[in-house]
Amino acid sequence: MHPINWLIVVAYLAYVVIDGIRRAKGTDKIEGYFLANRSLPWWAVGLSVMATQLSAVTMIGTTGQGATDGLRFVQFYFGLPLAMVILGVTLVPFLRGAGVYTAYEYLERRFDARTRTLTALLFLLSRGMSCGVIIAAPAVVFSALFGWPLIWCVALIGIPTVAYTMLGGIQAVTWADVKQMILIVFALLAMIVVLIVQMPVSPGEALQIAGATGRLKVFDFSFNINETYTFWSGLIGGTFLMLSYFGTDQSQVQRYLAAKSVGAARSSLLMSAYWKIPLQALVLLVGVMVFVYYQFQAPPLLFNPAHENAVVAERGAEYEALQDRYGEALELREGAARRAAGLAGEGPAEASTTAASDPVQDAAARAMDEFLAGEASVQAIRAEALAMAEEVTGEPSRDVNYIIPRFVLSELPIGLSGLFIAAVIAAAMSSISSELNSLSTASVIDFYRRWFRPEASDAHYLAVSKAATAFWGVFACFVALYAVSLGSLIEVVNRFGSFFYGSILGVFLLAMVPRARGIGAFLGLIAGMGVVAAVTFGAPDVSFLWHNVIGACTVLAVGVVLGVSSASRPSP
Amino acid sequence: MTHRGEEPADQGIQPTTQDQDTRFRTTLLRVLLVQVVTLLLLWILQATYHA
Repeated sequence: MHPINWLIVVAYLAYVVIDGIRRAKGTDKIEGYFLANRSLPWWAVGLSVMATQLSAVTMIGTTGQGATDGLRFVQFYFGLPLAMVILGVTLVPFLRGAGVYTAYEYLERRFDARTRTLTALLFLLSRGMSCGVIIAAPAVVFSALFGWPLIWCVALIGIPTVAYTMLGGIQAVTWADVKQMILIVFALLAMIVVLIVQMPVSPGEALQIAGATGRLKVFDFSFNINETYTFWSGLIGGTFLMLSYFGTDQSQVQRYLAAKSVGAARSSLLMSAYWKIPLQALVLLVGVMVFVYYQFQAPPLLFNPAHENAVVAERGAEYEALQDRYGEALELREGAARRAAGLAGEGPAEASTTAASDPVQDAAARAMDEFLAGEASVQAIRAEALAMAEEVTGEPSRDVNYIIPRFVLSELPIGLSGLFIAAVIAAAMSSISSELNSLSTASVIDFYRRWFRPEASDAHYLAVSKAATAFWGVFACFVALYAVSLGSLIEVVNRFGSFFYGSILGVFLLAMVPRARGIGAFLGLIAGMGVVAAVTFGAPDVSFLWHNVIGACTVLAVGVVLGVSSASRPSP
Repeated sequence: MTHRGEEPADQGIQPTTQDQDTRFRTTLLRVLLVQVVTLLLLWILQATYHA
């Protein structure tokens, strides 16, 4: 990478750490450290909520998904606006009014200590591990791109984040999130502009090409609980997932607890309700545009440079022959793409299935047919190369996470590549810092202060909170290092999370049922997780989005039944 | 504002007031309107370009 790009990355890292340390001055009390003395403006909290949810996985994984799979992933977020409105009316005033530090603290007031402790423990375990995965995802990509040892990449992301989160608390986290969010959106918009300028076809023609390959198919109205990306899975399952995430996950709840009023907290959530779907569509559109760009510029056969090097070293001759075939297929596809784009305005985008009587329309359909055939043969050769990489390295060779970083480093102008890499680091940091801050809060408030030292000075709790942030930071970095060597750990973390997310939501929903009791909440939580585990292993095809619905409904059912039966039982 | 934390345990949420209901409906309508417009734009994109 060019030195100017590195300079941008280093300047960004230095700024974030220095700004974080500067903000540490105002946080000498525990309420200031964890909740900014409940003083943050709605727009800062709103941007922080969005930045926390937008991780490096979004910047490199979701954009890559846009390039390979198109826009349909946006359906995943269709339930988010509704969830935000529901939370704004129900849980936000509720938790704010309770004057709590954590969402789980409220559960003890409403139910009992064991429900609080179990939910807080589940949060600590899952978020602690997922924090490691969030560090691992960009670290692995950076390691492959720049040839650095993985531990350096983990340290590059982990150390500055832990430093400013530990020293500055939520003030530093939130204000860093604001700047990071601005940087991320700017980088995405800049990429779209550069892509449009550098593309040899007009934006309309580019969309025609993308549409012909199915990448602009947004809506799928089929009702299939085995499919994650459908309108109904997104709307129903997505609503429950977003209610769980934004309503019960401390990394999100803590954001709006730090807002200066209930109104500010609500407005901060509504910012996501308004902007999340357009932002996600933009992220995916970047990927789609990169796909179109590579119709006119030769893309690498393997996007992961580490795999490419390994294959060249071990099966060089075979790989070279494959590359020759790839080059020829790319040339044919490019010619067809140019013809199809040139004729796009003259006829239908559909292939020759449409009965075309007009010669111009007929030519357009034929050109599109040729383009699709070219695309199919390019993908077939890519599949052969990926299989070869899998044989050589023994690792899964799906290289969707490397498409955008390779594009950024080889195709973007100097300065913008550095900006994008800084934005990826910013996206990772914004998620990690919020999670570390919330992990520290739950550790101190729900465990240390609740069970070990209920009466201690603010200075003592503040010191313990900083130590807890450092502990979780180190823990996450270790998980990041192991997440790579134990590839399936990522899947384990995701599955573990889906076991209880909906069930915890069920407990909070149960809190709104007047007759519900502590025993119902606790046993309902366990039953909810059990049923979700049974569905996960018994019916593995059911999309994880529905696990949240199943878990929440089970907890509600068990909790209501036990609540009613304990209420009707005569007192001894 | 009701301080739920000061109430004894084992009580449910109080019903929402008229004011809150009205505000909720207005906000819900506004958010839904923005989402409908967003989804409509995505639909037009799909209808225009998707083969």
